[in-house]
Amino acid sequence: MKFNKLKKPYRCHPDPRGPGRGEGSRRLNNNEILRPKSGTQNDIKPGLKIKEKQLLSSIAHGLPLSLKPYEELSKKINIGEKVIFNLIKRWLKEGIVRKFGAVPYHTSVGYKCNAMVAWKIQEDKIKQTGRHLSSFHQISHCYQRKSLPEWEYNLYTMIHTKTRKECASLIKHISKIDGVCDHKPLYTLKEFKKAPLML
Amino acid sequence: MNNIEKNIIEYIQNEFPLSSRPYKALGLKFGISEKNVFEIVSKLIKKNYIRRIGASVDSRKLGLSSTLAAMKVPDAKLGRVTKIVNALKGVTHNYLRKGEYNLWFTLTAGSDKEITEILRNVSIKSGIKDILNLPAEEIFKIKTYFKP
Repeated sequence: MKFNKLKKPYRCHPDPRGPGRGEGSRRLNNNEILRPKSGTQNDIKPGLKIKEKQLLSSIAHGLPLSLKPYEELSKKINIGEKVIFNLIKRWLKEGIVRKFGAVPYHTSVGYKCNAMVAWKIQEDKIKQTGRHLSSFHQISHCYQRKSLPEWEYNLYTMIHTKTRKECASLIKHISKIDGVCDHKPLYTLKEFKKAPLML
Repeated sequence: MNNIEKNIIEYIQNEFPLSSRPYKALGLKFGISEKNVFEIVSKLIKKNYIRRIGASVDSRKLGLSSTLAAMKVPDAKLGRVTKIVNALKGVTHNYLRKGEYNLWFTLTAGSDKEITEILRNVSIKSGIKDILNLPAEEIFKIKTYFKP
């Protein structure tokens, strides 16, 4: 995994007077622990990157069910709660964490019909169609994907509706949009795996 | 779900408080006790309304590659092939779908090359030759919020 490419390792200015003196011995506040300094050497917190990875992996798998979930994480990973909050805030800002919250089972939340639809869109209309389809609230994901000679579909949408009828009528509506040549509805029959990313 | 449960699930889908006692923060927001919110959330998890509370990670931002893959799997082989696919660490979603290509999964790995390699191995192991590798060229929308 390329996690280490994420950012430069944390380094501080080497101090010729040795450890316990100079800049390296200063107590760091949370922000400093999170921000790498440029043009420096010597790891001051060599374990931090590993801990960041542990934290990201833990929160990807979900917070422990506890009144004080961050305190539990803090004990498990051995970093301060404030560091945890700051890291999550930073990851949200950087987009590494897209969302921090509850992940629902959409079927139990009332979305009984879930379909992936592969669309074949006229090449010169694909961007405008992608943007247009993204505006539908029933569409959660809209991706342009590589098409293959044996599979010429180039745009994919995930549609979630409360009924199959609503889903079918939306598909029909979209199929009539200018530039949409063909489509293949791929209704979800069974979920075999849905797991957070293993880091 | 009753109204308060709906309101809570709706709210925490978008953000979960980053504070030492998040259920206390939610309780203040909804005008109920910390204990009450915690009981509701615990129930929503237990009853399979909520999968987990945590981070959705953008693998591309971490420098990883991902793709959508599809396979044509005959019914008789479905159990075995699903086992092979599910065992892959980089597989985050795997669904049986209606259609000729019936097994659809997302795969994340260190590079495009690694993805090609993994898919080749899946093909060899499963004996299924028809595998589509459909990497994204542009992402127009990702929304993971569902109004209850």
